[in-house]
Amino acid sequence: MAASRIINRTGARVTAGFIIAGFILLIAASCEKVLTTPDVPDDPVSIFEEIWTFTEKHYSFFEYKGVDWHDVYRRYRPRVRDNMGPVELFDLCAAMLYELKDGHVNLVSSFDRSRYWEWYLDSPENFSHSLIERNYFRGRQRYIGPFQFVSIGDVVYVYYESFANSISENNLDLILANIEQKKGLIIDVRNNGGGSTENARKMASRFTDIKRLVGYNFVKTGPGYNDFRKQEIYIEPHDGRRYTGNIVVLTNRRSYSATTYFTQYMKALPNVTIVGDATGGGGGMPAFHDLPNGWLLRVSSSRFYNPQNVSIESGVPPDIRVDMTEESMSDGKDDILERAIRLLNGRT
Amino acid sequence: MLFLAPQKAVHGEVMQERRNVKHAVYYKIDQGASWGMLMDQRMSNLHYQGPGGILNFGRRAHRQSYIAEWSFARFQYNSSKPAHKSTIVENPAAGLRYMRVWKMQTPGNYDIFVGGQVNVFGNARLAGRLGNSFLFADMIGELRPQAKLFFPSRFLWRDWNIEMSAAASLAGYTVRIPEYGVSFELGEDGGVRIQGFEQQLLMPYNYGHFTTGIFIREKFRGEDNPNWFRVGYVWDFYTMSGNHNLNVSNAMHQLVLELNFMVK
Repeated sequence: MAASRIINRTGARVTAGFIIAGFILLIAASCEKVLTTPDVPDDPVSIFEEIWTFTEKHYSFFEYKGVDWHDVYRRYRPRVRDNMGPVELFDLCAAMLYELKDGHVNLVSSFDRSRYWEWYLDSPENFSHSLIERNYFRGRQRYIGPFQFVSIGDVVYVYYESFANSISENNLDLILANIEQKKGLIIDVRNNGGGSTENARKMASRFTDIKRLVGYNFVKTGPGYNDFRKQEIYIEPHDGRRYTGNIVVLTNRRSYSATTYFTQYMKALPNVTIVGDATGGGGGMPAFHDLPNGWLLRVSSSRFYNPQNVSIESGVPPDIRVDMTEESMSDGKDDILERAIRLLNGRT
Repeated sequence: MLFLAPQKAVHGEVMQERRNVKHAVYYKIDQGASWGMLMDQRMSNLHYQGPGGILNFGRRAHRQSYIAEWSFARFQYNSSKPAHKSTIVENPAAGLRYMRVWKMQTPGNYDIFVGGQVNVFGNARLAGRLGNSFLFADMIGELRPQAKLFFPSRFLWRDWNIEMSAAASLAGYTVRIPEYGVSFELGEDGGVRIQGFEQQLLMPYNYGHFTTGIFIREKFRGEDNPNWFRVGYVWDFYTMSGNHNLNVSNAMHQLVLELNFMVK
């Protein structure tokens, strides 16, 4: 009898233990499902809705561009079908995003990247690297980090191909050490499609002796079209070697994104002249969104204004507009660079 | 005091051992494997899942009427992907925790401890594919009521000491990368900086953090060996709704081995 009581008691403990343990596991697993928002499906309608909704809540230039995004929805949504193939759906979504006419708006898939590049296709090219190589570098250029550097008479010419290429303080020290006896510096950022604004800050901070307001940044703070926080942006002088002599920055329509920011930073400095064509713009930092089918969406989600409260989204205009001519190019001359050299040599 | 005599808790001959460890202090190391699930609507509306691990260093004091435990270096790491597998999210987390639970009077052959914990942790989500939006992170400080239940059970032809624990958030505070905009924006010096941080009071209507666990506790070999270990399963889940209703959810399913070494 005693043995059977012990067995019964032990059995009850086992059962209770397992019931409680099982109960906990069940609660854990089911709570997670209940408390978490369900995954978004990857059917065409859901993908379209994700793209439209994220853009609606994060895009920063609807009013600036005069785009009625709800009207765009009304025109494109009826064209989405459940049986659409991925390429057809991609093309439809790309066409919808194209309405924003923004180089920072892209839809990226494994088979294509939607884009808007017309801001420079309708403008003069205004740059030929091979012309610079043949007629100005002539094999004399030095490569200092990401910069191509050469002395042209009494001025120094520096070409910077991409703000995505890292700049070290040592690179800038070396360049500035070579300017001291010269009449001025030309920084060529034509065809520079952008990259990191950190590189733009590093460069601009070498060309001012005092902290200067260069513009206002508006950071998205909510889903509304006007939910932004305003920030004053200053360029502060670098602690080490600086140059505050005459500088000319060369730009064209392919100078985009971080290059537009750099051009605006430099334009706010009194010793700098911008020569060439307006930059391509790209005055909003892009936000990214991972879509359920593996595509990636990118939209501009901030705004940058110059100190006069003018947006740089459509580009920073030059102080002196110069276009390259076929005639000069056939003579081996770069009109924009020639104008910069004349300026720094005291001629107009 | 069942929990202090893990191996033979249901037998009378371990009373001597219980007296020896009644005021024991242990240093402990937890390690284990985990399966994580996260969703951060600042990043996307997708679930990211994947494997990871945990490591925790702590100190545990057993007193007659309470247990106090410090987790002074708690690390977690998971690498997760969504269903389409094109994005990898690195999910490191670290934290500190102090817990104290007091023994309740119980009539049966089990022990219940009730108390609370102060928990501070940071949880980051890094997705290189998302450019300027590649980093989202939360720092959370919280108060959580906690309960522990210790009871004996017999299965697989022997006696076991079972420990179950549960904790749920009461209130907290978070500092995190904002819901809108991008994580890396212009700094006031014109360069790239983390956009900034926003703060939010966390209450049950916008935040829940639940942890449940079940463990088997066992002594190391040797009659006089005061050290012990426990193995178990822990489910840890938190969900938080931001000021604009963008949700963050993070769940961890963990298999844990915890080693306890008595120091006094």
